[in-house]
Amino acid sequence: MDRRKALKSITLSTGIVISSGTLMTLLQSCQEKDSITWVPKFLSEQEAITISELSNIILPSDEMPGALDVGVPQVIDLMMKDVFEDKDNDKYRKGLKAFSSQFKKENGVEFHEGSQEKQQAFVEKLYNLSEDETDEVLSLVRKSSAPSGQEDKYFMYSFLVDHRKLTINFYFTSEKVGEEILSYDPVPGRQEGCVPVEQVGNVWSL
Amino acid sequence: MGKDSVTYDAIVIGSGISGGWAAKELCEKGLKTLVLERGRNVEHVKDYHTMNMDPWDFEHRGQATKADLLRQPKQARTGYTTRPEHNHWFVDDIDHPYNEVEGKRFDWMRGYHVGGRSITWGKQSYRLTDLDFEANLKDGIAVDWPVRYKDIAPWYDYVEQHIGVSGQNLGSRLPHFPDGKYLPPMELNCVEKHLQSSIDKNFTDRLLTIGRVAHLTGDKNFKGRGKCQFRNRCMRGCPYGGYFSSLSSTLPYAVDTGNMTMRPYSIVHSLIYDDKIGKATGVRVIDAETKEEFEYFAKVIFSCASTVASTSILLNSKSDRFPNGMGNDSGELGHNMMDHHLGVGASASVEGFEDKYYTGRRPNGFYIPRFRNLPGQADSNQDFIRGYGYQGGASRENWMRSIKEMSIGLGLKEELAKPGPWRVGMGGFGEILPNHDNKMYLDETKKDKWGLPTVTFDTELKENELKMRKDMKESAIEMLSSAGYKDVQGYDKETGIGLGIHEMGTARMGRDPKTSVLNGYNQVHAVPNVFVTDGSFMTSAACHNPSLGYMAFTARAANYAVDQLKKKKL
Repeated sequence: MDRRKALKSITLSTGIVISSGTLMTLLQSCQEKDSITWVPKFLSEQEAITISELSNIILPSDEMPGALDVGVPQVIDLMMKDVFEDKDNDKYRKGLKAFSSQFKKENGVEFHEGSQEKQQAFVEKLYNLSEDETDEVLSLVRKSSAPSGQEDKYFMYSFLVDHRKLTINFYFTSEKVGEEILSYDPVPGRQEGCVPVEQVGNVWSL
Repeated sequence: MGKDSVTYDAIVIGSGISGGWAAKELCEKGLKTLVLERGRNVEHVKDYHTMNMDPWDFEHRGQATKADLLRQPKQARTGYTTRPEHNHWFVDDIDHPYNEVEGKRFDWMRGYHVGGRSITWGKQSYRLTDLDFEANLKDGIAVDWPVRYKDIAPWYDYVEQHIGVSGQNLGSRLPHFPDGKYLPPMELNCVEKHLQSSIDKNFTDRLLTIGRVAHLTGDKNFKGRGKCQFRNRCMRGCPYGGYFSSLSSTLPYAVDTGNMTMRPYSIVHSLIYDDKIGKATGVRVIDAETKEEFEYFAKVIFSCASTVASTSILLNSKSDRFPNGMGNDSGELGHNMMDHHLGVGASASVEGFEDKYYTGRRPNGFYIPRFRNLPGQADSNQDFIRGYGYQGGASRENWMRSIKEMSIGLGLKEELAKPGPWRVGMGGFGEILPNHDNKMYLDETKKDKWGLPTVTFDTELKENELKMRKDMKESAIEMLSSAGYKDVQGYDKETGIGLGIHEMGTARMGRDPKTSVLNGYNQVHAVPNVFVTDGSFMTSAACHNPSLGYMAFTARAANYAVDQLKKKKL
């Protein structure tokens, strides 16, 4: 059976609404390799698989939905096509490539071909930094161009910082999270300047 | 050229903040009034198509696409006007070009539709006082305002009571921040209250109060309007009519009289002047859709098209009597462009209120009225004249706070779903001095698609503004630091004149026709049946949002015009 057709048939037209865990089980019956269930509009399929895996590691699902449950990679792909500037897209892709190459250097295969355990370990190693290392990375990626000798690190971390930001942003501005997880009140009707935080609970969605 | 068979008592050019008020007052006084709007028609509520949309309802989460931005490269300079939630209220820059002198940026942010910028305005509503009206005279610059606070105060009362302004009266605490006719104030939040008491304790010359804002609060009834629901989606148009726009608050009153005719898609080319009687007899109009030309006639004409547009119309109204534009005997028409300079202030983190939050999305913030160069202040030591106010607010950060770190994995979602730390910030609104060199003029060699000359701006911030900006940043840092807040960060962003979207002053009022365009009743000195009541009349800029003043001066001028008509003086 054509894999894409098979995958499409289990996906609702509006994006992924079943949890990624369920999805993985369903997928494993067709295919062991990582894959995606949507057709990217901008990224290559391999790029889309890589950023999906990465978003899933950044915001995995548990009792709360994860990044894949609310279609974060699809939004990133759409935004790259329609909204983000070409130069930013180029930089993102360059970083993605550097990220995948680094994985290959360490593991012998491209990121999207690696095992879940190896992907997880690799990504955690890159993001789990001490406070000093974090500051160093954030100041490196703020530079407008790569310092000589640090090109790979500059582009890879620009991508990792950027992708993490996009994942978080599109996760919390998704309908499911915005309406069901965060405090959602489209028509407050009144305003109170100072109330106990328990009265509201989670951060305001809007 | 077609001629409309109907002659009106009055023609109002523009349907925004000023035009709506002129239409209401003139129609209510019985004048058959034609309102000309250059843009499309807008039906209140029905045409606010984004008013109930959440971020996820927009295809791109509310961000403008690259394709959209190709049509609005200049409107995008604010950073917010081109968002799909309200980009339909701002012009297409390709169809509506303007020119800037090289190296001098000018941001002309506007929309062409019934209601104009009354739909998208900031709604902050403050009164000019004698501190402002006497300023030019005392400083010996530009010309003296031909009015004083006592002349305009009753009109402020009048317009405030009609539009509804929420705010706090403070008694005689600051003479230049007088009481008004306010609806109940909105609430400061816990951190803002803390900052308020800190400022009270640490500064004798300053105070912090809730912003005065044209929203309906309390129990008073306003015809056809509902109370503010604290959605803070005002710029999209409000389904409740919770804030003042000409669509919610003035045009319906004009419609109810049966005296108003609204004609959208009507670009005014120029005013028609009759030298024999020394008056304007009507207007030349180009239909925006068909490009057909029409003439309309009336006894009195109110130009309320916005500062730049009214000035352009006058400049384009050339005759033997007025070779340089109607009413331009002084040569000041198009000069003395002002705005408020902003984009400078400070922000800080606040600890100790982690157990507190707020409800409702308040379409308002706090206000710190001017405290520099006030009369009676002992030796102020400032190296600039005039002053500035601050607008600001405190809030708890959301998930975007996480861009400052790198954590991932289980637990991050839960953590970021909680309210973040408090941040407080304030930004200055500084007065820009009237300067003859800051100007706009028409470029006859570059025409728009209706064959009208385009506008060129030649303006820049001068020495006084640049010196003031340093103090605006430092004083904000000073107030936040003295309140004990952490991580205090000052900022001073690059800005252009126009970014305050308060462009004003290019057809200024004055006492002498040799040095000003309008008299104290907004009448063109040399053409008494033409009134200009948008921001172009401003003789000085003061340091706060000007729209309430445009309403008060428009209402006053309209009532004066009706009175003069009755006395057969027009």
